[in-house]
Amino acid sequence: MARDPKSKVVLITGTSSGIGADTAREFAVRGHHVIATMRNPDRDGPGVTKGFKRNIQATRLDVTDQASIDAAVAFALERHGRIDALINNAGYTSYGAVIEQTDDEIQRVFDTNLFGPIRTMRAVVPAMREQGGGKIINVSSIAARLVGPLFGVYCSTKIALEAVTEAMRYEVARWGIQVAIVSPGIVKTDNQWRSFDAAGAIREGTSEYQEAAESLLAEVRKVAAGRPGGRLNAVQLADLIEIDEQPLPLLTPIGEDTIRAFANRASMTDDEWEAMLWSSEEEGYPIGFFKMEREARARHLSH
Amino acid sequence: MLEAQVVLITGASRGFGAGAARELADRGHQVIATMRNPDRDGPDVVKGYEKNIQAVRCDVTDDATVKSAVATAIERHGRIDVLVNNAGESLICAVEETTDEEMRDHMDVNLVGPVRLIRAVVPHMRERRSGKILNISSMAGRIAGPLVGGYCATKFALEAISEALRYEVAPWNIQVVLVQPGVVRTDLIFGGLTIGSALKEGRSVYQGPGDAMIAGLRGGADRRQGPRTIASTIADLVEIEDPLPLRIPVSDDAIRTLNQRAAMTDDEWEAFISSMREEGYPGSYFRAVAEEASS
Repeated sequence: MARDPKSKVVLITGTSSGIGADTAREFAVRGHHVIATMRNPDRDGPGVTKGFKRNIQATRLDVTDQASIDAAVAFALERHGRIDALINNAGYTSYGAVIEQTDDEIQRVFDTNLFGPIRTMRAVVPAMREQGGGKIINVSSIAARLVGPLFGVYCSTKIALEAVTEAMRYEVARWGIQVAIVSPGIVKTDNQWRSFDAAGAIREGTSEYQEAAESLLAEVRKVAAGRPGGRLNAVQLADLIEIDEQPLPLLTPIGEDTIRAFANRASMTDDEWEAMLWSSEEEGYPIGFFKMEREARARHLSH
Repeated sequence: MLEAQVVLITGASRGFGAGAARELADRGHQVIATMRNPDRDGPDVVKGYEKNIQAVRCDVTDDATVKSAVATAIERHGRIDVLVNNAGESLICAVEETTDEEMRDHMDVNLVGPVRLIRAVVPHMRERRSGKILNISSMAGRIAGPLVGGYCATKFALEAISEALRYEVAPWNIQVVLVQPGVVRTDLIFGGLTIGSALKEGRSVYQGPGDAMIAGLRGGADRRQGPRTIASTIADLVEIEDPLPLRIPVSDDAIRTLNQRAAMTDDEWEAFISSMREEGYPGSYFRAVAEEASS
Protein backbone atom coordinates (compact mmCIF):
# COMPACT_ATOMS: atom_id res chain seq x y z
CA MET A 1 0.00 0.00 0.00
CA ALA A 2 1.73 3.15 -1.14
CA ARG A 3 2.18 5.53 1.70
CA ASP A 4 2.87 9.20 1.28
CA PRO A 5 5.26 9.91 4.12
CA LYS A 6 4.89 13.44 5.31
CA SER A 7 7.63 15.65 4.15
CA LYS A 8 10.55 15.92 6.54
CA VAL A 9 13.30 18.46 7.02
CA VAL A 10 16.67 16.73 7.03
CA LEU A 11 20.05 18.29 7.65
CA ILE A 12 22.94 16.26 6.27
CA THR A 13 26.64 17.01 6.62
CA GLY A 14 29.31 16.18 4.07
CA THR A 15 27.02 16.21 1.05
CA SER A 16 29.44 17.49 -1.56
CA SER A 17 30.10 13.95 -2.81
CA GLY A 18 29.78 10.24 -2.08
CA ILE A 19 27.19 8.81 0.26
CA GLY A 20 26.23 12.30 1.48
CA ALA A 21 25.38 13.55 -2.02
CA ASP A 22 23.50 10.35 -2.89
CA THR A 23 21.55 10.62 0.36
CA ALA A 24 20.59 14.26 -0.21
CA ARG A 25 19.20 13.37 -3.63
CA GLU A 26 17.36 10.28 -2.36
CA PHE A 27 15.53 12.37 0.24
CA ALA A 28 14.71 14.96 -2.42
CA VAL A 29 13.33 12.29 -4.78
CA ARG A 30 11.01 11.23 -1.97
CA GLY A 31 9.76 14.77 -1.50
CA HIS A 32 11.63 15.73 1.66
CA HIS A 33 13.48 18.98 2.26
CA VAL A 34 17.21 18.70 2.57
CA ILE A 35 19.66 21.14 4.03
CA ALA A 36 22.68 19.71 2.25
CA THR A 37 25.68 21.05 4.06
CA MET A 38 29.26 21.18 2.82
CA ARG A 39 32.33 23.27 3.29
CA ASN A 40 32.21 24.91 -0.11
CA PRO A 41 28.67 25.17 -1.50
CA ASP A 42 29.67 27.62 -4.24
CA ARG A 43 31.97 25.03 -5.73
CA ASP A 44 30.24 21.75 -4.83
CA GLY A 45 26.60 22.73 -4.37
CA PRO A 46 25.39 22.91 -7.97
CA GLY A 47 26.39 19.31 -8.70
CA VAL A 48 24.25 18.10 -5.79
CA THR A 49 21.21 20.34 -6.13
CA LYS A 50 20.91 19.90 -9.89
CA GLY A 51 17.37 18.85 -10.75
CA PHE A 52 16.27 19.23 -7.12
CA LYS A 53 16.50 22.96 -6.55
CA ARG A 54 13.18 23.06 -4.72
CA ASN A 55 14.09 20.32 -2.28
CA ILE A 56 17.82 20.68 -1.67
CA GLN A 57 19.50 23.74 -0.21
CA ALA A 58 23.26 23.59 -0.44
CA THR A 59 24.40 25.31 2.73
CA ARG A 60 27.83 26.10 4.08
CA LEU A 61 28.87 24.12 7.14
CA ASP A 62 32.30 23.06 8.31
CA VAL A 63 31.95 20.52 11.13
CA THR A 64 35.14 21.85 12.70
CA ASP A 65 33.67 25.36 12.96
CA GLN A 66 30.89 25.76 15.53
CA ALA A 67 29.86 29.18 14.19
CA SER A 68 29.20 27.71 10.73
CA ILE A 69 27.15 24.89 12.32
CA ASP A 70 25.05 27.33 14.33
CA ALA A 71 24.47 29.41 11.20
CA ALA A 72 23.39 26.38 9.12
CA VAL A 73 21.02 25.17 11.85
CA ALA A 74 19.59 28.68 12.22
CA PHE A 75 19.09 28.84 8.46
CA ALA A 76 17.26 25.50 8.42
CA LEU A 77 14.99 26.55 11.30
CA GLU A 78 14.30 29.90 9.74
CA ARG A 79 13.38 28.37 6.43
CA HIS A 80 11.42 25.31 7.58
CA GLY A 81 10.62 25.96 11.24
CA ARG A 82 11.96 22.56 12.27
CA ILE A 83 14.64 19.93 11.75
CA ASP A 84 13.22 16.42 11.78
CA ALA A 85 16.46 14.62 11.21
CA LEU A 86 20.18 15.18 11.38
CA ILE A 87 22.52 12.88 9.48
CA ASN A 88 26.13 13.21 10.51
CA ASN A 89 27.88 11.96 7.43
CA ALA A 90 30.90 14.26 7.09
CA GLY A 91 34.15 12.49 7.80
CA TYR A 92 37.34 11.30 6.25
CA THR A 93 39.67 8.36 6.40
CA SER A 94 43.11 8.83 7.82
CA TYR A 95 45.78 6.30 6.99
CA GLY A 96 49.04 5.51 8.68
CA ALA A 97 50.75 3.51 11.39
CA VAL A 98 49.65 4.50 14.86
CA ILE A 99 53.11 5.51 16.01
CA GLU A 100 53.85 7.41 12.83
CA GLN A 101 50.94 9.80 12.98
CA THR A 102 51.57 13.17 14.53
CA ASP A 103 49.45 14.66 17.28
CA ASP A 104 48.25 17.18 14.75
CA GLU A 105 47.18 14.49 12.27
CA ILE A 106 45.34 12.57 14.97
CA GLN A 107 43.68 15.66 16.40
CA ARG A 108 42.53 16.75 12.95
CA VAL A 109 40.75 13.50 12.13
CA PHE A 110 39.11 13.40 15.58
CA ASP A 111 38.08 17.02 15.13
CA THR A 112 36.11 16.09 12.00
CA ASN A 113 34.95 12.53 12.71
CA LEU A 114 34.10 12.74 16.42
CA PHE A 115 33.92 16.36 17.55
CA GLY A 116 32.11 17.31 14.33
CA PRO A 117 29.03 15.15 15.03
CA ILE A 118 29.07 16.20 18.70
CA ARG A 119 28.98 19.86 17.64
CA THR A 120 26.08 19.38 15.24
CA MET A 121 24.14 17.31 17.80
CA ARG A 122 24.64 20.03 20.38
CA ALA A 123 23.25 22.52 17.89
CA VAL A 124 20.11 20.59 16.85
CA VAL A 125 19.04 18.91 20.08
CA PRO A 126 17.47 22.08 21.60
CA ALA A 127 15.30 22.52 18.49
CA MET A 128 14.35 18.82 18.44
CA ARG A 129 13.51 18.93 22.14
CA GLU A 130 11.28 21.90 21.59
CA GLN A 131 9.47 20.37 18.61
CA GLY A 132 8.88 17.16 20.54
CA GLY A 133 11.30 14.78 18.88
CA GLY A 134 13.65 14.06 16.06
CA LYS A 135 16.10 11.57 14.66
CA ILE A 136 19.86 11.68 14.57
CA ILE A 137 21.83 9.15 12.57
CA ASN A 138 25.57 9.09 12.80
CA VAL A 139 27.41 7.47 9.93
CA SER A 140 30.04 5.17 11.33
CA SER A 141 31.91 2.57 9.30
CA ILE A 142 32.62 -1.12 8.95
CA ALA A 143 36.01 -0.05 10.35
CA ALA A 144 34.55 0.79 13.76
CA ARG A 145 34.24 -2.87 14.63
CA LEU A 146 36.88 -4.30 12.35
CA VAL A 147 40.10 -2.71 13.40
CA GLY A 148 42.87 -3.10 10.86
CA PRO A 149 46.51 -2.16 10.68
CA LEU A 150 47.31 1.34 9.38
CA PHE A 151 43.69 2.34 9.97
CA GLY A 152 43.98 2.40 13.77
CA VAL A 153 43.38 6.11 14.24
CA TYR A 154 40.49 6.18 11.79
CA CYS A 155 38.94 3.12 13.45
CA SER A 156 39.31 4.80 16.83
CA THR A 157 37.42 7.90 15.65
CA LYS A 158 34.55 5.70 14.51
CA ILE A 159 34.34 3.43 17.55
CA ALA A 160 34.50 6.57 19.70
CA LEU A 161 31.63 8.00 17.66
CA GLU A 162 29.66 4.82 18.32
CA ALA A 163 30.25 5.12 22.07
CA VAL A 164 29.10 8.73 22.07
CA THR A 165 26.09 7.86 19.94
CA GLU A 166 24.96 5.08 22.24
CA ALA A 167 25.27 7.25 25.33
CA MET A 168 23.38 10.10 23.62
CA ARG A 169 20.66 7.64 22.65
CA TYR A 170 19.86 7.00 26.30
CA GLU A 171 20.27 10.64 27.30
CA VAL A 172 17.86 12.21 24.81
CA ALA A 173 15.25 9.43 24.57
CA ARG A 174 13.19 11.27 27.21
CA TRP A 175 12.51 14.02 24.66
CA GLY A 176 11.49 11.66 21.89
CA ILE A 177 14.80 12.05 20.12
CA GLN A 178 16.17 8.83 18.61
CA VAL A 179 19.88 8.46 18.03
CA ALA A 180 21.34 5.67 15.93
CA ILE A 181 24.36 4.47 14.01
CA VAL A 182 24.64 3.17 10.47
CA SER A 183 27.76 1.36 9.31
CA PRO A 184 28.48 1.42 5.61
CA GLY A 185 31.07 -0.88 4.13
CA ILE A 186 33.43 0.04 1.33
CA VAL A 187 31.70 2.11 -1.30
CA LYS A 188 32.90 3.30 -4.66
CA THR A 189 32.43 7.02 -5.03
CA ASP A 190 33.26 9.32 -7.92
CA ASN A 191 36.09 11.01 -6.14
CA GLN A 192 36.92 8.00 -4.12
CA TRP A 193 39.96 9.18 -2.34
CA ARG A 194 39.49 12.90 -2.14
CA SER A 195 38.62 12.43 1.49
CA PHE A 196 41.44 9.97 2.04
CA ASP A 197 44.30 11.38 4.07
CA ALA A 198 47.57 9.46 4.23
CA ALA A 199 49.91 10.33 7.07
CA GLY A 200 52.88 12.54 6.24
CA ALA A 201 55.29 9.66 6.77
CA ILE A 202 53.62 7.61 4.02
CA ARG A 203 53.20 10.55 1.63
CA GLU A 204 56.86 11.43 2.03
CA GLY A 205 57.97 7.83 1.62
CA THR A 206 59.71 7.73 5.00
CA SER A 207 57.42 5.24 6.75
CA GLU A 208 58.84 2.09 8.33
CA TYR A 209 55.80 0.46 6.76
CA GLN A 210 56.23 2.01 3.34
CA GLU A 211 56.03 -1.15 1.29
CA ALA A 212 53.18 -2.68 3.28
CA ALA A 213 51.36 0.66 3.33
CA GLU A 214 51.52 1.10 -0.41
CA SER A 215 50.50 -2.47 -1.06
CA LEU A 216 47.61 -2.28 1.41
CA LEU A 217 46.43 0.99 -0.08
CA ALA A 218 46.50 -0.53 -3.55
CA GLU A 219 44.44 -3.44 -2.25
CA VAL A 220 41.86 -1.17 -0.65
CA ARG A 221 41.58 0.85 -3.84
CA LYS A 222 41.13 -2.28 -5.87
CA VAL A 223 38.43 -3.52 -3.55
CA ALA A 224 36.70 -0.14 -3.60
CA ALA A 225 36.79 0.06 -7.39
CA GLY A 226 34.81 -3.17 -7.58
CA ARG A 227 32.21 -2.06 -5.05
CA PRO A 228 28.81 -0.55 -5.82
CA GLY A 229 28.26 3.15 -5.29
CA GLY A 230 26.52 4.69 -2.30
CA ARG A 231 22.91 4.37 -3.40
CA LEU A 232 22.01 1.53 -1.07
CA ASN A 233 23.29 3.61 1.83
CA ALA A 234 21.20 6.54 0.64
CA VAL A 235 18.06 4.42 0.33
CA GLN A 236 18.59 2.79 3.72
CA LEU A 237 19.15 6.15 5.42
CA ALA A 238 16.00 7.56 3.85
CA ASP A 239 14.04 4.49 4.96
CA LEU A 240 15.31 4.79 8.53
CA ILE A 241 14.27 8.42 8.69
CA GLU A 242 10.87 7.75 7.11
CA ILE A 243 9.92 4.84 9.38
CA ASP A 244 8.35 6.70 12.27
CA GLU A 245 6.30 4.05 13.94
CA GLN A 246 9.10 1.71 14.90
CA PRO A 247 12.09 2.61 17.02
CA LEU A 248 15.38 2.97 15.20
CA PRO A 249 17.73 0.09 15.95
CA LEU A 250 20.95 1.21 17.62
CA LEU A 251 23.10 -0.10 14.78
CA THR A 252 22.25 -0.83 11.16
CA PRO A 253 25.03 -2.32 9.06
CA ILE A 254 24.59 -1.50 5.38
CA GLY A 255 25.80 -3.59 2.49
CA GLU A 256 26.54 -7.26 2.27
CA ASP A 257 30.21 -6.72 3.13
CA THR A 258 29.43 -5.10 6.49
CA ILE A 259 26.64 -7.50 7.40
CA ARG A 260 28.87 -10.46 6.66
CA ALA A 261 31.97 -9.05 8.35
CA PHE A 262 30.11 -8.12 11.53
CA ALA A 263 28.49 -11.54 11.73
CA ASN A 264 31.85 -13.26 11.22
CA ARG A 265 33.61 -11.07 13.75
CA ALA A 266 30.82 -11.47 16.31
CA SER A 267 30.95 -15.25 16.09
CA MET A 268 34.70 -15.43 16.74
CA THR A 269 36.72 -14.92 19.86
CA ASP A 270 39.49 -12.31 19.67
CA ASP A 271 42.01 -15.14 19.50
CA GLU A 272 40.25 -16.84 16.61
CA TRP A 273 39.93 -13.57 14.75
CA GLU A 274 43.58 -12.69 15.14
CA ALA A 275 44.71 -16.19 14.21
CA MET A 276 42.59 -15.95 11.07
CA LEU A 277 44.19 -12.65 10.07
CA TRP A 278 47.75 -13.80 10.68
CA SER A 279 47.44 -17.19 9.08
CA SER A 280 45.69 -16.38 5.83
CA GLU A 281 47.56 -17.10 2.65
CA GLU A 282 45.17 -15.15 0.49
CA GLU A 283 45.84 -11.86 -1.13
CA GLY A 284 43.44 -9.02 -0.61
CA TYR A 285 42.69 -6.43 1.97
CA PRO A 286 43.87 -6.60 4.70
CA ILE A 287 45.24 -10.12 4.42
CA GLY A 288 48.13 -9.13 2.20
CA PHE A 289 49.41 -6.89 4.96
CA PHE A 290 49.56 -9.75 7.45
CA LYS A 291 51.40 -11.92 4.97
CA MET A 292 54.01 -9.24 4.45
CA GLU A 293 54.35 -8.59 8.17
CA ARG A 294 54.76 -12.29 8.84
CA GLU A 295 57.64 -12.34 6.39
CA ALA A 296 59.09 -9.18 7.93
CA ARG A 297 58.96 -10.77 11.35
CA ALA A 298 60.68 -13.91 10.10
CA ARG A 299 63.45 -11.78 8.61
CA HIS A 300 63.77 -9.86 11.87
CA LEU A 301 64.08 -13.07 13.91
CA SER A 302 66.69 -14.58 11.60
CA HIS A 303 69.02 -11.61 12.16
CA MET B 1 34.82 -0.86 -14.70
CA LEU B 2 32.02 -3.38 -14.72
CA GLU B 3 30.28 -3.65 -18.07
CA ALA B 4 26.51 -3.50 -18.37
CA GLN B 5 25.05 -6.73 -17.03
CA VAL B 6 22.23 -8.73 -18.56
CA VAL B 7 19.81 -9.62 -15.77
CA LEU B 8 16.72 -11.82 -15.95
CA ILE B 9 14.26 -11.19 -13.11
CA THR B 10 11.14 -13.20 -12.42
CA GLY B 11 8.09 -11.71 -10.77
CA ALA B 12 9.00 -8.27 -12.06
CA SER B 13 5.46 -6.94 -12.34
CA ARG B 14 5.56 -5.35 -8.87
CA GLY B 15 7.30 -5.22 -5.51
CA PHE B 16 10.97 -6.11 -5.25
CA GLY B 17 11.06 -7.45 -8.79
CA ALA B 18 9.77 -4.27 -10.43
CA GLY B 19 11.91 -2.16 -8.11
CA ALA B 20 15.06 -4.13 -8.92
CA ALA B 21 14.33 -3.99 -12.66
CA ARG B 22 14.05 -0.21 -12.57
CA GLU B 23 17.03 0.28 -10.27
CA LEU B 24 19.21 -1.88 -12.52
CA ALA B 25 17.97 -0.04 -15.62
CA ASP B 26 18.76 3.25 -13.93
CA ARG B 27 22.31 2.02 -13.40
CA GLY B 28 22.65 1.18 -17.09
CA HIS B 29 22.09 -2.57 -17.05
CA GLN B 30 19.88 -4.61 -19.39
CA VAL B 31 16.90 -6.26 -17.76
CA ILE B 32 14.62 -9.03 -18.94
CA ALA B 33 11.71 -8.35 -16.62
CA THR B 34 9.56 -11.44 -16.65
CA MET B 35 5.97 -11.63 -15.44
CA ARG B 36 2.86 -13.64 -16.09
CA ASN B 37 1.02 -10.88 -17.87
CA PRO B 38 3.37 -8.43 -19.60
CA ASP B 39 0.57 -6.88 -21.65
CA ARG B 40 -1.18 -5.76 -18.50
CA ASP B 41 1.73 -5.18 -16.09
CA GLY B 42 4.69 -4.52 -18.38
CA PRO B 43 4.14 -0.89 -19.39
CA ASP B 44 4.35 0.48 -15.82
CA VAL B 45 7.61 -1.33 -15.17
CA VAL B 46 9.21 -0.43 -18.49
CA LYS B 47 8.07 3.20 -18.54
CA GLY B 48 11.01 5.59 -18.86
CA TYR B 49 13.45 2.71 -19.36
CA GLU B 50 12.35 1.43 -22.74
CA LYS B 51 15.97 0.90 -23.85
CA ASN B 52 16.96 -1.08 -20.77
CA ILE B 53 13.95 -3.11 -19.71
CA GLN B 54 12.11 -5.67 -21.76
CA ALA B 55 8.92 -7.09 -20.27
CA VAL B 56 8.69 -10.77 -21.19
CA ARG B 57 6.07 -13.36 -20.39
CA CYS B 58 7.10 -16.09 -17.98
CA ASP B 59 5.02 -18.10 -15.58
CA VAL B 60 7.44 -19.94 -13.29
CA THR B 61 4.99 -22.83 -13.01
CA ASP B 62 5.02 -23.35 -16.78
CA ASP B 63 8.28 -24.76 -18.08
CA ALA B 64 7.58 -23.80 -21.69
CA THR B 65 7.30 -20.11 -20.81
CA VAL B 66 10.46 -20.35 -18.69
CA LYS B 67 12.40 -21.76 -21.63
CA SER B 68 11.04 -19.20 -24.06
CA ALA B 69 11.84 -16.28 -21.72
CA VAL B 70 15.43 -17.52 -21.35
CA ALA B 71 15.65 -17.97 -25.13
CA THR B 72 14.39 -14.42 -25.67
CA ALA B 73 17.04 -13.04 -23.34
CA ILE B 74 19.84 -14.94 -25.02
CA GLU B 75 18.63 -14.10 -28.47
CA ARG B 76 18.51 -10.43 -27.64
CA HIS B 77 21.70 -10.03 -25.59
CA GLY B 78 23.72 -13.16 -26.33
CA ARG B 79 23.96 -14.01 -22.66
CA ILE B 80 22.46 -13.85 -19.16
CA ASP B 81 24.88 -12.62 -16.53
CA VAL B 82 22.53 -12.76 -13.60
CA LEU B 83 19.31 -14.61 -12.82
CA VAL B 84 17.15 -13.15 -10.06
CA ASN B 85 14.58 -15.68 -8.86
CA ASN B 86 12.16 -13.29 -7.27
CA ALA B 87 8.69 -14.56 -8.17
CA GLY B 88 6.94 -15.96 -5.15
CA GLU B 89 3.80 -15.91 -3.08
CA SER B 90 2.93 -16.03 0.60
CA LEU B 91 0.41 -18.53 1.91
CA ILE B 92 -1.25 -17.81 5.22
CA CYS B 93 -2.69 -21.04 6.56
CA ALA B 94 -2.53 -23.25 9.63
CA VAL B 95 -0.47 -26.37 9.00
CA GLU B 96 -3.29 -28.80 9.83
CA GLU B 97 -5.68 -26.93 7.52
CA THR B 98 -3.39 -26.75 4.49
CA THR B 99 -4.68 -28.97 1.71
CA ASP B 100 -2.42 -31.04 -0.51
CA GLU B 101 -3.35 -28.83 -3.40
CA GLU B 102 -2.56 -25.60 -1.55
CA MET B 103 0.79 -26.98 -0.45
CA ARG B 104 1.64 -28.30 -3.91
CA ASP B 105 0.73 -25.02 -5.61
CA HIS B 106 2.79 -23.08 -3.10
CA MET B 107 5.84 -25.29 -3.57
CA ASP B 108 5.39 -25.13 -7.32
CA VAL B 109 5.75 -21.35 -7.33
CA ASN B 110 8.28 -20.77 -4.55
CA LEU B 111 10.55 -23.80 -4.90
CA VAL B 112 10.09 -25.59 -8.22
CA GLY B 113 9.72 -22.24 -10.01
CA PRO B 114 13.27 -21.11 -9.20
CA VAL B 115 14.55 -24.60 -10.00
CA ARG B 116 12.95 -24.43 -13.46
CA LEU B 117 14.73 -21.14 -14.15
CA ILE B 118 18.00 -22.49 -12.81
CA ARG B 119 17.75 -25.54 -15.05
CA ALA B 120 17.17 -23.31 -18.05
CA VAL B 121 19.92 -20.80 -17.31
CA VAL B 122 22.81 -22.80 -15.84
CA PRO B 123 23.87 -24.46 -19.14
CA HIS B 124 24.43 -21.02 -20.67
CA MET B 125 26.29 -19.78 -17.64
CA ARG B 126 28.44 -22.91 -17.61
CA GLU B 127 29.32 -22.39 -21.24
CA ARG B 128 30.51 -18.89 -20.42
CA ARG B 129 32.16 -19.98 -17.15
CA SER B 130 30.45 -17.12 -15.43
CA GLY B 131 27.16 -16.24 -13.80
CA LYS B 132 25.27 -15.25 -10.73
CA ILE B 133 21.99 -16.59 -9.39
CA LEU B 134 20.24 -14.55 -6.74
CA ASN B 135 17.42 -16.44 -5.09
CA ILE B 136 15.06 -14.23 -3.14
CA SER B 137 14.37 -16.10 0.05
CA SER B 138 13.06 -14.43 3.18
CA MET B 139 13.71 -13.94 6.85
CA ALA B 140 11.22 -16.84 6.92
CA GLY B 141 13.88 -18.97 5.23
CA ARG B 142 15.45 -19.33 8.68
CA ILE B 143 12.63 -18.62 11.12
CA ALA B 144 9.29 -20.40 11.21
CA GLY B 145 6.19 -18.93 12.78
CA PRO B 146 2.55 -19.83 13.31
CA LEU B 147 0.23 -19.80 10.27
CA VAL B 148 3.11 -19.41 7.83
CA GLY B 149 4.43 -22.95 8.14
CA GLY B 150 3.85 -23.75 4.47
CA TYR B 151 5.48 -20.52 3.35
CA CYS B 152 8.44 -21.12 5.66
CA ALA B 153 8.70 -24.66 4.30
CA THR B 154 9.02 -23.36 0.73
CA LYS B 155 11.67 -20.86 1.76
CA PHE B 156 13.61 -23.29 3.99
CA ALA B 157 13.58 -25.69 1.06
CA LEU B 158 14.74 -22.98 -1.34
CA GLU B 159 17.63 -22.25 1.01
CA ALA B 160 18.65 -25.91 1.12
CA ILE B 161 18.53 -26.26 -2.65
CA SER B 162 20.40 -23.01 -3.15
CA GLU B 163 23.20 -24.05 -0.83
CA ALA B 164 23.60 -27.40 -2.55
CA LEU B 165 23.54 -25.74 -5.96
CA ARG B 166 26.14 -23.23 -4.80
CA TYR B 167 28.65 -26.02 -4.27
CA GLU B 168 27.65 -27.84 -7.43
CA VAL B 169 28.12 -24.95 -9.84
CA ALA B 170 31.01 -23.17 -8.12
CA PRO B 171 33.56 -24.95 -10.38
CA TRP B 172 32.12 -23.07 -13.36
CA ASN B 173 32.38 -19.73 -11.64
CA ILE B 174 28.64 -19.53 -11.07
CA GLN B 175 27.69 -17.99 -7.75
CA VAL B 176 24.45 -18.80 -5.95
CA VAL B 177 23.29 -16.38 -3.31
CA LEU B 178 20.27 -16.17 -1.01
CA VAL B 179 18.76 -12.78 -0.33
CA GLN B 180 16.65 -12.63 2.84
CA PRO B 181 14.31 -9.65 3.05
CA GLY B 182 12.32 -8.96 6.20
CA VAL B 183 8.80 -7.61 6.26
CA VAL B 184 8.63 -4.97 3.57
CA ARG B 185 5.81 -2.64 2.57
CA THR B 186 4.84 -4.22 -0.74
CA ASP B 187 1.46 -4.93 -2.20
CA LEU B 188 2.17 -8.64 -1.81
CA ILE B 189 1.40 -8.24 1.86
CA PHE B 190 -1.60 -5.97 1.34
CA GLY B 191 -3.32 -7.42 -1.70
CA GLY B 192 -1.30 -10.44 -2.71
CA LEU B 193 -1.34 -12.69 0.32
CA THR B 194 -2.70 -16.11 -0.48
CA ILE B 195 -5.08 -16.86 2.36
CA GLY B 196 -5.69 -20.54 2.95
CA SER B 197 -9.21 -21.73 2.15
CA ALA B 198 -10.18 -22.45 5.77
CA LEU B 199 -9.27 -18.95 6.93
CA LYS B 200 -10.70 -17.31 3.84
CA GLU B 201 -14.02 -19.05 4.27
CA GLY B 202 -14.18 -18.18 7.97
CA ARG B 203 -14.25 -21.79 9.12
CA SER B 204 -10.77 -22.11 10.54
CA VAL B 205 -10.09 -23.43 14.02
CA TYR B 206 -7.56 -20.61 14.12
CA GLN B 207 -9.93 -17.92 12.86
CA GLY B 208 -9.46 -15.36 15.65
CA PRO B 209 -5.67 -15.54 15.84
CA GLY B 210 -5.54 -15.88 12.03
CA ASP B 211 -7.48 -12.68 11.43
CA ALA B 212 -5.45 -10.92 14.12
CA MET B 213 -2.26 -12.14 12.53
CA ILE B 214 -3.15 -10.96 9.05
CA ALA B 215 -4.13 -7.56 10.43
CA GLY B 216 -0.93 -7.48 12.49
CA LEU B 217 1.18 -8.40 9.49
CA ARG B 218 -0.40 -5.70 7.36
CA GLY B 219 -0.30 -3.13 10.13
CA GLY B 220 3.35 -3.98 10.73
CA ALA B 221 4.20 -3.82 7.04
CA ASP B 222 2.55 -0.44 6.69
CA ARG B 223 5.12 0.90 9.12
CA ARG B 224 8.02 -0.85 7.41
CA GLN B 225 10.51 0.00 4.74
CA GLY B 226 9.34 0.04 1.15
CA PRO B 227 10.87 -2.24 -1.48
CA ARG B 228 13.63 0.15 -2.55
CA THR B 229 16.23 -1.11 -0.12
CA ILE B 230 15.72 -4.64 -1.41
CA ALA B 231 15.79 -3.40 -5.00
CA SER B 232 18.97 -1.46 -4.42
CA THR B 233 20.60 -4.40 -2.64
CA ILE B 234 19.77 -6.69 -5.55
CA ALA B 235 21.34 -4.14 -7.91
CA ASP B 236 24.45 -3.97 -5.71
CA LEU B 237 24.75 -7.76 -5.73
CA VAL B 238 24.51 -7.77 -9.51
CA GLU B 239 27.38 -5.28 -9.69
CA ILE B 240 29.73 -6.64 -7.03
CA GLU B 241 32.59 -8.54 -8.64
CA ASP B 242 34.02 -10.00 -5.45
CA PRO B 243 32.76 -13.37 -4.17
CA LEU B 244 29.40 -13.03 -2.46
CA PRO B 245 28.35 -14.73 0.78
CA LEU B 246 25.74 -17.50 0.75
CA ARG B 247 23.12 -15.54 2.68
CA ILE B 248 22.43 -11.84 2.75
CA PRO B 249 19.75 -10.53 5.10
CA VAL B 250 18.26 -7.24 3.89
CA SER B 251 16.35 -4.55 5.75
CA ASP B 252 16.95 -3.78 9.38
CA ASP B 253 14.36 -6.22 10.77
CA ALA B 254 15.82 -9.20 8.93
CA ILE B 255 19.38 -8.38 10.00
CA ARG B 256 18.30 -7.87 13.58
CA THR B 257 16.00 -10.87 13.87
CA LEU B 258 18.31 -13.34 12.16
CA ASN B 259 21.13 -12.20 14.44
CA GLN B 260 18.92 -12.71 17.48
CA ARG B 261 17.86 -16.12 16.30
CA ALA B 262 21.44 -17.19 15.67
CA ALA B 263 22.44 -16.08 19.16
CA MET B 264 19.69 -18.05 20.92
CA THR B 265 19.10 -21.71 21.64
CA ASP B 266 15.81 -23.18 20.41
CA ASP B 267 14.50 -22.97 23.99
CA GLU B 268 15.41 -19.31 24.36
CA TRP B 269 13.89 -18.49 21.00
CA GLU B 270 10.66 -20.28 21.72
CA ALA B 271 10.29 -18.54 25.07
CA PHE B 272 11.03 -15.20 23.43
CA ILE B 273 8.66 -15.54 20.50
CA SER B 274 5.83 -17.11 22.51
CA SER B 275 5.89 -14.24 24.98
CA MET B 276 5.36 -11.61 22.28
CA ARG B 277 2.16 -9.66 22.75
CA GLU B 278 2.80 -6.45 20.87
CA GLU B 279 1.29 -5.26 17.60
CA GLY B 280 2.57 -6.76 14.38
CA TYR B 281 3.40 -10.31 13.54
CA PRO B 282 3.75 -12.64 15.46
CA GLY B 283 2.75 -10.59 18.53
CA SER B 284 -0.81 -10.15 17.26
CA TYR B 285 -1.18 -13.89 16.84
CA PHE B 286 0.08 -14.77 20.30
CA ARG B 287 -2.00 -12.05 21.92
CA ALA B 288 -5.15 -13.32 20.21
CA VAL B 289 -4.34 -16.86 21.31
CA ALA B 290 -3.85 -15.67 24.90
CA GLU B 291 -7.12 -13.75 24.81
CA GLU B 292 -9.02 -16.75 23.48
CA ALA B 293 -7.50 -18.97 26.13
CA SER B 294 -8.50 -16.63 28.95
CA SER B 295 -12.08 -16.13 27.78
